[in-house]
Amino acid sequence: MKLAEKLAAWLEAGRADLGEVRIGRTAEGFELHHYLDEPGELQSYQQAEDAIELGKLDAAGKYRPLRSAPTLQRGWRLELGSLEDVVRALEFFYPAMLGTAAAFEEKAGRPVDLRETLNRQSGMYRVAGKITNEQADALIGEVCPPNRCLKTITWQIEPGVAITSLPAGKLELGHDLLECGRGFIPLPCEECCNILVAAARETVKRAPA
Amino acid sequence: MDKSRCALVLAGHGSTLNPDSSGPTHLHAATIRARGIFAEVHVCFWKEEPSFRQIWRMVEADEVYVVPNFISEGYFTQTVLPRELGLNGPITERDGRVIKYCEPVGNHANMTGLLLQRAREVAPGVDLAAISLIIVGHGTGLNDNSARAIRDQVARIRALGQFGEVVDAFMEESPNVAEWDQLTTLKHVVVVPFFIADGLHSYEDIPVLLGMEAGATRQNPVPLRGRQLYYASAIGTSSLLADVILDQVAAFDEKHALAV
Ligand code: SF4
Repeated sequence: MKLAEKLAAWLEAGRADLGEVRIGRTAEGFELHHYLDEPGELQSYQQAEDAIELGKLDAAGKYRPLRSAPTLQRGWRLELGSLEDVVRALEFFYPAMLGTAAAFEEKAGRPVDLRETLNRQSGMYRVAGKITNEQADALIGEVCPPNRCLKTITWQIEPGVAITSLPAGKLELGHDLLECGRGFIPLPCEECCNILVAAARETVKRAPA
Repeated sequence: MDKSRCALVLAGHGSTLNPDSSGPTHLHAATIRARGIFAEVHVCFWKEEPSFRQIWRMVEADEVYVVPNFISEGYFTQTVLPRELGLNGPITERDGRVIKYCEPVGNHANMTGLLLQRAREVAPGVDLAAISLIIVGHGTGLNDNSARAIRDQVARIRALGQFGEVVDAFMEESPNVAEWDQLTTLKHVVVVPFFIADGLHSYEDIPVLLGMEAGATRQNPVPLRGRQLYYASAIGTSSLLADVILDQVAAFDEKHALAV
């Protein structure tokens, strides 16, 4: 199914939140805004590409290399005509998340365990693979908690070695991490991000030999 | 070019520190998207989201061109990108998709035109014959062929015979850009960074090596060491790069005889 059709079905089912972005209908089409903002006195934008800039910096002007950090700035309203534009904007706010959520819903998600991701690295990141399971668990507890990233982890440290350093909800796709009590589209972390890989490298390099 | 059933994926480096690093890649993607040539145009990055790995959750078309937004063949285009994108050569068939892996944008012969345009626009009104042009790159051992790419460009521009002189220089190998005044002889010296984005290298490192202030606003020319120094923006920020990306797609079709 095309992403736009998938999104239409989700909206139809009352699932209109993706991370901190809420999708609403207007007479002309669609309106995206921060879930804590009420539509109204918001600065208006009209291009899907505006989502690139809106997602880039937090309210304090700090760069957001991890787009799933719960630091999306407020005060804007993105008015879009078509569902295709909404898909494009959402791909800028939460890259690849619609397709990943759809894959998990269709039981086609392919979680990659941390160990496999680390062992694949080359160059300066190859050393990251030397992290122990205990160190990795602690590190995940620092890098990935819901106050730093809104994705739901679907992978394990290695087969049979689960993450113990995070609240259980962070590991359940159906869990509403923002506690809005509304329908939402999950943000599955299918494979650990580069920020965690880089942090694993730092951990290994810092650890006494 | 009719690619109305194809997707284009631009693969860039990105950064977890510099918010502007991915800007040019996004910009070129938007330019090409607006032309309506491809059904979809996506970006993906090594250090930003979407990651190279995630791109297959975004692409809907069955035929996909991937163009690395890198300056040369090297570690990223030969090791990291094929591994992360799951490619096994110029053409990969996987999961019902045909993926066409193009050469990096900086490899295309038409980059010469961009360099010439950058060099001319930074020193308007100066006779080209009175200009020493320096093309600057990083230069390193990281299986990086950017030095060769730059030397190729220098040879091409020199052969055109428009500029008084044309030389290459590097940040981390010789000839070193810090010696720019010894590498050149003419009064007007134009320096063009052969980089994809205006990042730390082109904003801070190279200006410092040149003897200018880091991050200084580009008020050209800067009188320095008895010469007139003109410092251009990184080549990858040129709006014309979008055309070179499309040229690289066309070059792929030509090379693999798939042109329609
Ligand atoms: S690894 Fe996944 S959950 Fe952890 S910070 Fe990165 S994206 Fe978020």
